[in-house]
Amino acid sequence: MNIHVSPKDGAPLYLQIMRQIRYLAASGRLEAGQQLPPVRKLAEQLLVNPNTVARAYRELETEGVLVTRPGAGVFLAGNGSPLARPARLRILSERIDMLLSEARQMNIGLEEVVELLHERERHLAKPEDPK
Amino acid sequence: MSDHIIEIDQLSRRFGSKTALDDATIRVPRGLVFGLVGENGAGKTTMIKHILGLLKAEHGAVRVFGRDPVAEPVAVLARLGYLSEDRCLPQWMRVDELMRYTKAFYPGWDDDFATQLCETFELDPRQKIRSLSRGQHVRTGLLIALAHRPELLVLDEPSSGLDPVVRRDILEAIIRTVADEGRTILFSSHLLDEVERVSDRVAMLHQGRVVLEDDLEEIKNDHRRLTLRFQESPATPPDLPGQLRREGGGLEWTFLCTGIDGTQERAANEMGARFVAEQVPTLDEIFLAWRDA
Amino acid sequence: MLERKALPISTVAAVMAWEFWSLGRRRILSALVGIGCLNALLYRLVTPDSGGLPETAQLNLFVAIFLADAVLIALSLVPGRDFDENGQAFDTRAFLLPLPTWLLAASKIFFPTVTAGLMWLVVSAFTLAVTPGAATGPHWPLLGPALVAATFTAAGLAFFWLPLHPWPLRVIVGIGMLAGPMAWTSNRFAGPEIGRATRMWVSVSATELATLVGFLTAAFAIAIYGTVHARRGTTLGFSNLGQQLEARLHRMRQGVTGAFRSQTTAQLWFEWREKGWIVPANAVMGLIMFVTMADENELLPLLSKLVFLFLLVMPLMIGCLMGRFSQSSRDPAIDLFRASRPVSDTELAHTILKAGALSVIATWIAAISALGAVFALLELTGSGGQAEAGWLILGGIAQRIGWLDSALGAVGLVWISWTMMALVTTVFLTGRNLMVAGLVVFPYALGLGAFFTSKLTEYDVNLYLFEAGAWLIGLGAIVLTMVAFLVAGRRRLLAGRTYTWAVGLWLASCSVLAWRGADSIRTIIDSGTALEAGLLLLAPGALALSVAPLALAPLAVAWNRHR
Repeated sequence: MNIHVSPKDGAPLYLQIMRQIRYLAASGRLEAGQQLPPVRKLAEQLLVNPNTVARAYRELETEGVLVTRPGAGVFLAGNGSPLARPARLRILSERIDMLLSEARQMNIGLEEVVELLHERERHLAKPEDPK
Repeated sequence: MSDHIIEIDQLSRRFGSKTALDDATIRVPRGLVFGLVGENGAGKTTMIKHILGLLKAEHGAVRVFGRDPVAEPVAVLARLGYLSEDRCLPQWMRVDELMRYTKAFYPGWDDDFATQLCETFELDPRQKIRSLSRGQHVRTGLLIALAHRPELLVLDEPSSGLDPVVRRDILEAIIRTVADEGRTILFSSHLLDEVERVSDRVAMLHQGRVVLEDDLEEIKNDHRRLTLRFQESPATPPDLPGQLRREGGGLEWTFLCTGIDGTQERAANEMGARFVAEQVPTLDEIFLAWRDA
Repeated sequence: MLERKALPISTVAAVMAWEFWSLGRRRILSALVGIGCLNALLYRLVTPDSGGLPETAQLNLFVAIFLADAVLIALSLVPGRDFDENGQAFDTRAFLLPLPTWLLAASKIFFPTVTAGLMWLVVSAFTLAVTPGAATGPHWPLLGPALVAATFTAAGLAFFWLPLHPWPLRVIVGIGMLAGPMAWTSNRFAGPEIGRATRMWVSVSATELATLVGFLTAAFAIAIYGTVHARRGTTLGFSNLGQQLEARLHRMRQGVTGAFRSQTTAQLWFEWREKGWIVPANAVMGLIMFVTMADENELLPLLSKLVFLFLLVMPLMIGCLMGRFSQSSRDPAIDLFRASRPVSDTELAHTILKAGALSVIATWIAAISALGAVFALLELTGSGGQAEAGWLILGGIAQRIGWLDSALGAVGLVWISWTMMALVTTVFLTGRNLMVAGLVVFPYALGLGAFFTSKLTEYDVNLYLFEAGAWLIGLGAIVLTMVAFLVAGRRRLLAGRTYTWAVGLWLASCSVLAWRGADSIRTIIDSGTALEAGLLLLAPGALALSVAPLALAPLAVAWNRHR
């Protein structure tokens, strides 16, 4: 599982872990039902306190992203989970927040941003056209 | 017995005219990683020496496992593992001799674990300690501090002046130790990103005083970097409630505040300014802010 | 032309000046003042108003002072800053100086050498100046020793600069380098008795001068050779061989040793391996060197003196060595490693005392067996006369000590050695420089006080004072011991067993002494006043001092360990 945390980021480490697991799940790089590494192993890999990893798992479990099967380990919840879509939306909202604050800093209005979004969407649809 | 492994109450210590510790109080709960941070000379080593019973409390009290480490050094030292900041292992010994010697003092010494650590750390048991490199020396010290599976692991500046590989070894050792139920770790460091990675609780020392002691998460929750934008530049530098540090000028000012609640926003509104950014600062920034405050 | 020559010369001068300024200035000046004052004092005391002493006595005195001076000068010249923190290897910082190697070596060796010689000359001149009557003596009385001192300094320093490995090779080469000048001078200095004047004490011939200069030159050459290698980081000798030997030794040792039986065994092993073996090993080496170099006639008296020296001085040296926790003189406090082991203060202190006792015993055994081995070897190789003399000596020594005469003599010797070793160890265990300084100053002050008292007061007053002193010391020792045991008990440092042992030992030794010396005790009681009975307190007091370390040493460790 490809996760990186950095204290330089400022955000609490468990939040960084949660965000990245959510991202991996939403982007499909973690498949439904796939097992996650045990707390201790992930802690050693990331060089963080095991309590931090445990906390991230716990919170994700309450969100419904992860499920714990006693004796077997921690798994990614099935795609049918009611919270999978809100989780994905939340990730997207974070990005949009960043986009909007930058737009505000550059003095670009909301309409213009929406317009730009449409344009990029069209551009992504036919990638052979550069620009 | 209370659930605190280490209790230090209003501890003060002077060396001549220099104050090393000034009314310092900390509590280290069982089963957590406790990070002691501060600059060189802030009193970290002095505090650790009190915990080991190598310094007598002039004012205040020190209890480790509920006992006085000066009156009962064996009862305390036999239950902890200690890695010092300096090269203090006997130079004339070989690594295997050191292991054999150390084993005699700890009933809980685990031979298999010791051998395993020796291999992980790539130590040659036949090598003289005198000829070990700095990194290998620290690894050897770590080995004899860990191999008896102590209830409390005390690490004094374990990673200062070391290369990243050895630092990683040390952090992994900390993580593995705390993953064993009920073990407690106290470690001092001035490398705050390490502290942030592994600590549950942090105490900041500055000039012998404990300026901040709390769970890392609380510390993170309780500090924000706030950027304010004014309509017109204020005549005097503006102030926010709970501010530790202020920088900037003209229309934009950035504050590092503690005690985050509604008061900051209200104060900003009264001054005719609005928040343009709110970020969680790193532990490094928090520490610097407290130091200068 | 002039400039081209002046540049290297001025560089040399600058380096010398820097060396003097940074390394030795303070120590050398203070040593000079100290030696001068000491000598002046001694001369004033011994020859109050005239040069009335016979020439031999005067020269004997010179020799005594020469030896004392030698120690002081050696101390002042040990280049402290040049050693690393453990005092074991030369600090390589010197190699970073932008100087050619030969100049570096020369400055490090030439400077102390010249200083040693000059100091001797200055000291002797000073001594002569403050000694009435001595100035009429024959020549500059210490010119020979000054030159010899310079030679030895050079040879010793040259040896320090040789990066030799492994250490046995280093020791052998060191002995070889010092043995040359030593063998050469021993014939010229030592007469049949220590201090009997030989010619070289007072004048030096041209040939002798040339020989000494030869030694000096050789020392320089060796030093430069050594420095070149040390600077390149290469070592001389057979480091591989050393490693192989050590590996084999290790395998042998591993065969016999498993885990330690107890903490105490482990700690005893630690103390012995760290320091305990040093004095016995050096004693053997010194003795062998000494015996092989001395000649038949002088062997007997010298050796018997030397063995006495061994029996009484070695315990003191062992005490100094065992009691010192740290290697550096700057911080004599207990080292972090031992302080953080889970050993109680008492166990640490008692184990150190035990290791010291072992070291003393090992020194005796080593000394006696080394002598025996040398004599046996001499007999085998046919130098029968010397060997026979040797066996006689061994017998004679045993007789003198009292092993053959009475058991009490042997026990007394063991008792004195133990007490001296244990008390000195205890003082060092405190880890306070002030206490150690007190150890040196106190007996000196006591002796000086006694000397002045006897000179300045009337006979009656004198006697009175000495008896009062006996009371005081006797009582003081007993009280000190009791207080030590009480305090240690209150801090829960001692087990009940230790008390039983201490009291038992003390009572037993007192009663043995009372039984053996019943006659003299009766005489004192019959003839004496109440004050004279004070002498009777001295013995139990002294005996109490031999058990006092059992309580004092743990207290000292506790004081050192929990600051």
